[in-house]
Amino acid sequence: MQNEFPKLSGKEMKALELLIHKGEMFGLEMVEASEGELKRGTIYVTLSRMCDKGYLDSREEPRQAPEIGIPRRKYWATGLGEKVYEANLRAIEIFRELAWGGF
Amino acid sequence: MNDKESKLQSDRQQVIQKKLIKTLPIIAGILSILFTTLFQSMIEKVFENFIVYLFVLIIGCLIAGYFIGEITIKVTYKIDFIIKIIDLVKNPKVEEAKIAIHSRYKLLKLSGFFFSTKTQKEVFFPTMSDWDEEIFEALRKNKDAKLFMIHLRNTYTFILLMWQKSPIGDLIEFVRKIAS
Repeated sequence: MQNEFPKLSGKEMKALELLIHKGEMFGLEMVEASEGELKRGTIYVTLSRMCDKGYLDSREEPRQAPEIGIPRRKYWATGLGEKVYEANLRAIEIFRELAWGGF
Repeated sequence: MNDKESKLQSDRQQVIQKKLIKTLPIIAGILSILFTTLFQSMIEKVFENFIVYLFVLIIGCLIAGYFIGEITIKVTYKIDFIIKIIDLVKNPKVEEAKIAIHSRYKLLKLSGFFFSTKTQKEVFFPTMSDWDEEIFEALRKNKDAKLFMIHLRNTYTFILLMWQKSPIGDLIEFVRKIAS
């Protein structure tokens, strides 16, 4: 299974793209920045799955006084995440070249 | 609710009841005249005399009194509810004080019951913290009117999330993946 290509879904690609280009982000910021591609209802399920795979890492950001509540979670792409993203981008490019190369 | 609050509420109830009682005769008078005029114009053409007019006036008063009485009783029973609405309209900032102990955190208890600690920590806590963040953002900008919509939208999101993380949601996701 180690030689299997780490295929990313559309949502995973978008999340990695945002985190690689914009740096550390909160989930809600990613939803807003994705312009509709990432949804509030699914973002944390996707991010959690990506953390499990080792593509992302996260930490809790405590709220500043006087605000109280649950700390927010900030995410960033790991080295593995960046490599997988680049590999997927390259794979898409190759696929496009193969599919449309003759025209 | 402490004694002071309950006394204040009963005082307010009494004030509202007094106001209603004062305005009742005026409303009854206006309605009885309306009824009378309506019935009179209909019947006058047939019986043009004073007794008929008097009879119609009494009937009009009785009908108007019945309706007003019924409405008053209903309103009196719902004064608590009306006071709460008036409070909310007059002082939406009341919501601000309630944030720390808001009932939305009960949803976390529910998700905690059904899902693992890991899922709770990685999925439901961040969702709830986004909910908090939106409320703080609205309060910072003094957009209290948005609070209701924020609660509505986030409650929907939270429940949707619970559904997606449930075994049925996982199954649907799996079928979707195979189909695509």
